[in-house]
Amino acid sequence: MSIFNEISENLQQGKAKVVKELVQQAVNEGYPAKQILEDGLLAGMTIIGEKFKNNDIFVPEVLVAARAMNMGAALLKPYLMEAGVKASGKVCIGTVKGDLHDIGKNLVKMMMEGRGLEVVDLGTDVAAEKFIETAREQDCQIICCSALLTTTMGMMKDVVAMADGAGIHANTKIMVGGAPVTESFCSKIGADKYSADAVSAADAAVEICRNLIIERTSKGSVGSV
Amino acid sequence: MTRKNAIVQLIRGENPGYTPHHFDLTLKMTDRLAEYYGYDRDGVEDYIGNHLLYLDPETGFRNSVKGNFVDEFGTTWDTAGNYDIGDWGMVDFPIKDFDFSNYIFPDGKSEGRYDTAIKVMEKYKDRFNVMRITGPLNLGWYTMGFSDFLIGMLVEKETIHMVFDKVTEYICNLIDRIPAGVDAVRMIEDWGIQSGLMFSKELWMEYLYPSYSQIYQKIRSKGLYVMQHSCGDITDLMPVMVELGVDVIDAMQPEAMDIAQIKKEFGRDIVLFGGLGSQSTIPCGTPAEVIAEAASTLKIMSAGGKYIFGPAGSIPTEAPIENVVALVDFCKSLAEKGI
Repeated sequence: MSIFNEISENLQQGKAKVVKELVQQAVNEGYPAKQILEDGLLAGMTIIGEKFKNNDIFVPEVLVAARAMNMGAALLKPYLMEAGVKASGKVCIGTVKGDLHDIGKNLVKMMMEGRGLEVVDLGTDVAAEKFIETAREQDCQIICCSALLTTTMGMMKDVVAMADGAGIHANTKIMVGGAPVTESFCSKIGADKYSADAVSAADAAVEICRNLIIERTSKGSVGSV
Repeated sequence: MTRKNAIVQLIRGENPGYTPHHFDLTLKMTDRLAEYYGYDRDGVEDYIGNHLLYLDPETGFRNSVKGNFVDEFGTTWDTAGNYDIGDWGMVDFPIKDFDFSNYIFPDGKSEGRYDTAIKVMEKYKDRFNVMRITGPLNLGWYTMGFSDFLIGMLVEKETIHMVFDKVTEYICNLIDRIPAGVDAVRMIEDWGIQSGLMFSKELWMEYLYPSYSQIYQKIRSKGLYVMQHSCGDITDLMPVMVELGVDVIDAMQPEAMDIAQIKKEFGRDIVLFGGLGSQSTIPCGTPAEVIAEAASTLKIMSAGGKYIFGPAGSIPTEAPIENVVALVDFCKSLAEKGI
């Protein structure tokens, strides 16, 4: 079995210390950091994502796998920086103002990181201004808003309005999700993408970032991605 | 017939002659309805015809303490502002990195815990008195955070088994001290997400089956009925709920479960409570749409009896008052019409 398969397999089993050791071993053996990340860590998380989407595994299995991935990724980080490898996109995520539920948001964050995106986690009870300020300061391609309550999902409309007012909506797309949120709600408030589950959200985020890169490249603009 | 008797008859498989109802309301929605109808907070629950009288042991959380409050487990809650959504106001927890070395679990034996509950029962004598108690899963994660607790269920089993033992002991001690006049204990948990169980049934059987076997037995030893709440899709656990002899199960979220199928398979064996979606039509529809959905839900769920009608979960705070009033009127008419 290749070392990348070993990393992937052990990540899927949540063996965080083994993943860390294997990542170090791969580095020592001279494999490029980007390859270790993509063929080892992200490959394992992609499988986890599919299994979760298909209800073959549950939240604890996703959490332990994500913990293993984070341990491996933390070790790899300086090597990635040294090699000039950047994340495939940057997302700021949070649960909207008035809402303290973070289970779904945390799962989305894990899935997005598992797809190689950099995620700035703003936590819960996040004011619209904070989403906009973070997206601006950290050059995020996506603002991702979560809500579990019908009473708080309306705050997503404020995020969209503020993004429009700040003039960032063209280059920073707004994703929404959470139990009461629907496709039609997303359209109604002018958000860009609704996702029903964490894995779909990660897939959508990757595509959005890819499209924004293409758009920026074709316009000749230089950004962080 | 009193509302209490209607529920008791239902649980016993008898026909009270109509479908009883109960609305869970957020504190702010209760206040909005109180203002609309001209009652105080307790009075409006009575007026809208709620059949259950919810009571709580004093852990401090459900009192109106402004700002942050630290309960007997050492968990910090924010009870101020918009967080009238129950136990999701958790802002910090005492155990980090699975380190219980300096932690002492509360034992649930302190006196005076039910003083307020006793006064409430004396005030409202017509209803079915239900003591709400947080379940062992939720208590466990309140001590150490949701993420660590679920991770621990897989990789720190000894610690998590210890936690379950301790919180089960605490819960059983709470139940032991429940005063006379209470009719049932409703255990409050969150086992499901929108698309299924939060963790595997195998893990539920490993950790929760032994815990709940003890808890339900303790409840029955006090001569009380067993009620169980869980959000989310708990279809896979319904056979276990029947096996363990649960009398009433809620919330039966239609957004997450096939409640018609649940009724078909388990409706003879267990009282189903809830079933009316609270995430869509009630907050976003018209009064006519709310009534139409209520009638449709009632038709499916009340067939053969053993059903308490109500929204699955709390009616959201910002739901249009006219929608809630329409639902109240609908429910109050059920007894009059014998539906």
